[in-house]
Amino acid sequence: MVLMAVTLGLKAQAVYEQEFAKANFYYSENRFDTAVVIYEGILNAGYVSAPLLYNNGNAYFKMRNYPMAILNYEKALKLDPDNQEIKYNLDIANSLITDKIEPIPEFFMSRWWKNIGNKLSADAWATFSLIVLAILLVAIFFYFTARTKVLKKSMFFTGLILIVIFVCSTVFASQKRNYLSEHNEAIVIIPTITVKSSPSSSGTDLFVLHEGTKVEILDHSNDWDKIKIADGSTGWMPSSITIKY
Amino acid sequence: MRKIGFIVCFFMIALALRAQDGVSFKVICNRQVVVGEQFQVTYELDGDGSNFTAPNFNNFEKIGGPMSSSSSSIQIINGSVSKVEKHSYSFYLRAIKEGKFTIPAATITVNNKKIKSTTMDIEVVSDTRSVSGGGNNSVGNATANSKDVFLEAVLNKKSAYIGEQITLTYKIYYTLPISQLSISKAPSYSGFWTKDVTDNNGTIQQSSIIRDNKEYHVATIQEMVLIPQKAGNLTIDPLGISCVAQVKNENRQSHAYDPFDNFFGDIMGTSYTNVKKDIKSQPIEIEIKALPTKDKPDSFMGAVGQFTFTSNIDKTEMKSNDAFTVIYTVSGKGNIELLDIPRPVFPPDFEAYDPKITTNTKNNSYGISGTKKAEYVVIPRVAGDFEIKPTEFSYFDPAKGRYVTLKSDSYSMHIDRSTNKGYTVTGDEYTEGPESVTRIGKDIHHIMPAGRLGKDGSLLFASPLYFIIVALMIIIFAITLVSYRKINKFNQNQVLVRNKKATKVAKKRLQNAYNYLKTKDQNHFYEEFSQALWGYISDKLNIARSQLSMDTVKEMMTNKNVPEDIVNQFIELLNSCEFARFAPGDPGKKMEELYGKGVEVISKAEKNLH
Repeated sequence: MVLMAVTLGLKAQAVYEQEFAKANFYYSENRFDTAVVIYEGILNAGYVSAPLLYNNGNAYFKMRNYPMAILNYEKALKLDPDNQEIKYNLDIANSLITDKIEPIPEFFMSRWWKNIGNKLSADAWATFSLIVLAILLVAIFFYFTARTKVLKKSMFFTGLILIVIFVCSTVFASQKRNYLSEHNEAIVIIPTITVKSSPSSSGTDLFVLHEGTKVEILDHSNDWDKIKIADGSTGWMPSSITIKY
Repeated sequence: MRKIGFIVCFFMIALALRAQDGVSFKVICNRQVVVGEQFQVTYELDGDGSNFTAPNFNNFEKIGGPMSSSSSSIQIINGSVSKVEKHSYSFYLRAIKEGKFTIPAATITVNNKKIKSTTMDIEVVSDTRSVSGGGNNSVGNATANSKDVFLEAVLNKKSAYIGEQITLTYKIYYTLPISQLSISKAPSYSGFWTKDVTDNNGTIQQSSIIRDNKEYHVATIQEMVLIPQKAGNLTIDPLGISCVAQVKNENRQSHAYDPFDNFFGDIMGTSYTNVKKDIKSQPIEIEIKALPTKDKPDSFMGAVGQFTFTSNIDKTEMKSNDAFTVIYTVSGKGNIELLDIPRPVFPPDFEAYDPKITTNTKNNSYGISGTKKAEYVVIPRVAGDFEIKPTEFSYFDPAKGRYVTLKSDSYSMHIDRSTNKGYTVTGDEYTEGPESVTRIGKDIHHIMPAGRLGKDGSLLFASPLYFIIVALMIIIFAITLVSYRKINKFNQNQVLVRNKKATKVAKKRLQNAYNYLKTKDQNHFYEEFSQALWGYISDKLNIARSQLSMDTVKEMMTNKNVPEDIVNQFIELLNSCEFARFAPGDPGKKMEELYGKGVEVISKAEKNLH
């Protein structure tokens, strides 16, 4: 029974992988709208990968739909944070939208931490942590069974280092997992929106955002989102005008 | 005052101080003036200068100035070009007392050097010394009565608000014929914004009026609209008028020698003398009230009067980057020239240029009225539906004594996406800076090849699989460790058993050796004897036989804290055991000796090896 389900699943996956190749073909034929339809179909079926999102973003970009291109690039970067091609295309798309927001510089420690975390994907960190755990257990075993003092000592320190690496990689994996599972980033998709000081249309106008701008969602209240932009400004805007990812 | 015929001599001082190459700075004025006379003093600079500093005219009354004027001309003579620049600064002074004075020097900076102008001596002569002039126009000895000609200033209001229009009318009343009206002193109207609204098409309308039982002719000579700029009791200075009145001569004697007077007097029956009269209006006070602060709207920008406020837009549907025009118009009566039209709030992303302001006013004695327009050219930069919110315009109505707020229309705009806006087409977004050219050719990277897809949201971390793997690893670890421990323990037991057995085995072997010793079987004895020693140490130290050597034995025994002499004895015994087998001599005695030593060493070692 289980085996059948797994085979069926694999079969469906193979079908969508073929679809993926087909959409890429349409893209190379400059039929971007068709490509987008297929890419979106695959995404709607629940299959995802960084290249799929990246290609979808490219197709949107070619159709000059920069907000959707940015949305797809951001989603792709979430899955594959260190991919230079995605970063490059995202930069170009960001240079074509209206808002140019100067991001507030991050504290260097948290920047380093993020950079290390971005070196591997969530699953890679999880696998890495498992491998480190395995080596750690071997080290502990040798520590307990060591005959000589030298071996015991070296195993003790190896173990300590491995514990630190294991904890870090587990934290990375868990952070990545949280980041991927919580959808608190969004892209503005309507041409222009005035951000208000309170979650109602009578609130004071604070600043104006345009399509394609990335916002972080901090809070939610009655169809209004409290958002934060890269320069640290916060305000409220209706939920419907962004796509969260 | 026979001044008319007085030849005014303008004197140009030839002694122009040639301070620097081609620069002269000199003063020009009359040599001689009469007390009370206005005259002009001009400082003239050939060349370009700055920072003109006027001197103090201590002995004169300064009426006006400095008024600066400049002229420049370019001469080309025989192909050489020379530029002549002239700057002059004029003052109007009035002589107040008799005497000889000096017009002081002014200073000016030319080419970063201060230079002084020339000075000039001037003589102020008394009134009585008036020199004779033409007979007919001679001014008589002031016999015209102040009742005959007077000036009246009339305000249409006793009090007004700041910004409210006031009409000031100057009327001249006269019974005598007058001519040559001219304004000798205009008031400064400080605290007011003024506009001359005199409606004279070159002629002065006159009418008759009975006043104080006397018939007067009345003419309006000037009408001003005053708009007060500050609150308080303001005084309007008097207006000075000079005119020539024709006074009937009663005393003909005084002019007996005047042939013209006699001549005309004879013809007309009476003779007239032209009398120059200086008349002044009375100073008037007016109370200016500040605008009420209560209920003052935010949009109030100084408009006082009665106005209407309208707006016009040329289109409300267009494509982005197309321009539209919206006009805000204020029209009505009031300080139209002084008011500001509030700037409308355009939606963000609408690029509005500075407005073109046009003002049209009509002036009459009822005040200033007209229209003021602000025309905005606006370019929406992005597509979408927008609303231009109504703009508020507030004014103060002095008649009602309160503020009125008007609102313009609001416009809903529909902006379509411009078709020609794209990043490869116009490069609009790239037009900043010189690098735009190089960046136009930039494009995104190509797509990635199709690859494996994953189920959305399926992650290894914290998934059941992850926990299963962790659990499995820990279980394997635990099992391995426990089983290792068990095996180890078993082995330990084995060692213990061997250890316990060691002495027994050794004893048995020694017993066997002893038996061989008795039978003098040398080969078997040594074999059994060395077996006993090696076996004993092997079992005691838990070392495999194959790994046994003198060195390991020595090391291990030292590690087990066996005293060194015993270790040495043991090693020596093992050595001699090897040698004795092949050494010559009495075998029986050697065997006995060795056997004794062996028993002794083992029993000694037994005490230390546990």
